Amino acid sequence: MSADARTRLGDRRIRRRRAIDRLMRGLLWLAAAVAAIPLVLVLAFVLIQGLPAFNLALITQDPVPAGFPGGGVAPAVVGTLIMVGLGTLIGTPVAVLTGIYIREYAGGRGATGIRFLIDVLAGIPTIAVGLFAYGLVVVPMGTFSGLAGAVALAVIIIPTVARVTDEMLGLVSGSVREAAYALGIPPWKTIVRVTMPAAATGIVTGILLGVARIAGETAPLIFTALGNQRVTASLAEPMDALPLRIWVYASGPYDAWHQQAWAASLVLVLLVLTFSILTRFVLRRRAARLA
Amino acid sequence: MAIDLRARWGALAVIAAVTFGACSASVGSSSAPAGAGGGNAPAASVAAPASAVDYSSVSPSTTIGKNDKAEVTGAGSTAIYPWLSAVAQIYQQQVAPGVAVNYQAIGSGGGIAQFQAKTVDFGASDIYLSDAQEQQIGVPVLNVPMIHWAAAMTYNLPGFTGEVRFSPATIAGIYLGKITNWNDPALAADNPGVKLPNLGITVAHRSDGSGTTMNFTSFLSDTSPAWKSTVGAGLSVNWPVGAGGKGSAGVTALVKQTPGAIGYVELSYALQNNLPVGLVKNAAGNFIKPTLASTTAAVAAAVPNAPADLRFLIVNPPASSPNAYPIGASTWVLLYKDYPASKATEVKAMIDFLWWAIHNGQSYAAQVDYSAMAPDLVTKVEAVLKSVTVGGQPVLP
Repeated sequence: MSADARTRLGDRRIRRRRAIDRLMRGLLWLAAAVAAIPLVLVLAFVLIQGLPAFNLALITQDPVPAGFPGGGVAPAVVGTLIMVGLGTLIGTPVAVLTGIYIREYAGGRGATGIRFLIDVLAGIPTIAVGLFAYGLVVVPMGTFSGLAGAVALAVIIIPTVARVTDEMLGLVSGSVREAAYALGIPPWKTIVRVTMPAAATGIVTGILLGVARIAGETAPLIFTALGNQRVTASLAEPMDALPLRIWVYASGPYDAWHQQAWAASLVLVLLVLTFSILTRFVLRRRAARLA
Repeated sequence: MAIDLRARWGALAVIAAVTFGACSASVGSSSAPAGAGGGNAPAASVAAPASAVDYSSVSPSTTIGKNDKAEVTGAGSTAIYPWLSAVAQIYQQQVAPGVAVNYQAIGSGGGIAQFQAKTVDFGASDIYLSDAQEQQIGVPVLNVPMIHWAAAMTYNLPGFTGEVRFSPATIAGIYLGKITNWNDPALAADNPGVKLPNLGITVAHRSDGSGTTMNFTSFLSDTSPAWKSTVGAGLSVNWPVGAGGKGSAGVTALVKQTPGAIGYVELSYALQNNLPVGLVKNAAGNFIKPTLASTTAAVAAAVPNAPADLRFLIVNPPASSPNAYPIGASTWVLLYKDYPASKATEVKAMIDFLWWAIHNGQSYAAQVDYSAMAPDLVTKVEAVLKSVTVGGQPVLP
């Protein structure tokens, strides 16, 4: 075989490899595009359908009776803010401390066991969590309440945040911990001053994902918060939430309801988006300051 | 200087009091400013129409004053939601600003379950409680009819603009799977002089347990021996054919999307979605369009024979009511006969609200496509409301 022929053979092989490479890259790109399409479509659709009924009255006024024009979803906006806020306040400390315990204290077998339990909790359908909160809070209190809704949401946010905290602490390099120990810093202080700050950005991102998730939950609120046509700040009374209101309006017969359901979806998307952008902004400033 | 300071604190206290006072007031009556703040000014359109019965003249003097505060919670039937949430808001605006009736549509089944669990002050269901359900609750309960509506036969026939007439036997035949095309001779016989298209029939029904299904299947059982022996009546039945949709909204969507489809839905869903509704033959042999008036006629026909506990259906009215639509339905509010004394404020507010709802509230029914109660029934419902007690004491005189 001449050198020329060998080169030609090599050319062909390289060309074939390049072709396969291009094909595979193309397939991966396509998969990524397919994954992104629903997001783009959902956002575009919510925008197009929601904008016509999206105005100040929507978020400042109470619902008006069916068949009458106007009105808004103020009780749902207020209720979602209160219940998601309270649910996060109840759930996050428990979750972060659980994550710290798993990673820093539990030890091999204990950590595996707790991780398994947390994963099982994450896999429970949220409507079952709603029924749990119903039995725990609604039945003893004898009434549906915003508190019951917040408890259900707290239970849902716990596994997400606990696992993220666990994973993020695991990413902190061992040499950083060892350096702290070498300086004679006790373990608790190492966690508070060294490991946690290093993992903070990741943990906050996890909390953010959790908040976004519970903000959109409908099922666990049906039998806990129930819904309310009026703005209320009382945790002992039934409370409205955006997903609940969207659910009721979307399945109703009236066109005005359908429009408000779309606009309310837009409000919900914007709420989650604003919150996530704000948090990222704060985190970036904090990171810049630390640097 | 000291006086000056005290004056400042005093002013602060006044401001605080006003602010908190305003806050708590706005929680109770925040529906009122809907017109004040809104560019759409809906409050103006919520003005009372000329009502048939003047509430003030029939209102028993209860201790509910305009300044009492009470939060009443109810849940259940989706069908009654538009009307009940409307009258609750109007009642608060016009009668008792401190009384907030919060009603949530979780479905009739959910309403009965929550009523049994005693987590709500009242339930609402599109079908009255059965003896077994009442026994399960363990305490005496009351079934109070509140509003009536029609289960409409709606269909999707592209290009067809006329009205389709259905005899009960034809509807039974379609839902039994025996009539499968719109050009079937049975349909042709119901619609003389009308050419129905050569198009397959797709049957749509409810997939969830539903009062609409209960009334629809009761009507078919009453009129078709074949239906009674093979399928029967119930909240959900074993459908021989067809596709299921969740709620009236689900059935409406199925019919809208499927050429050749037929379904039974609450009249309001068909009207609001601009779907055609079929005329149904009643016992007198007339084909009747589902309207508010033809439903009220069915109620009027059923009331004289209604039992004292008001558990009755209004389907298939007798031939003596020539203008009555045969597939009517009702929604009941479920009350306990006796409430604990600790709930006195809420219960008084609730009963006064319901009293207002069966009188003045009925005039808002038409605006949301529901039918008002027959006057004879109002008298019977008054008697039931008067039997409610709190801690053993009657609420109404």
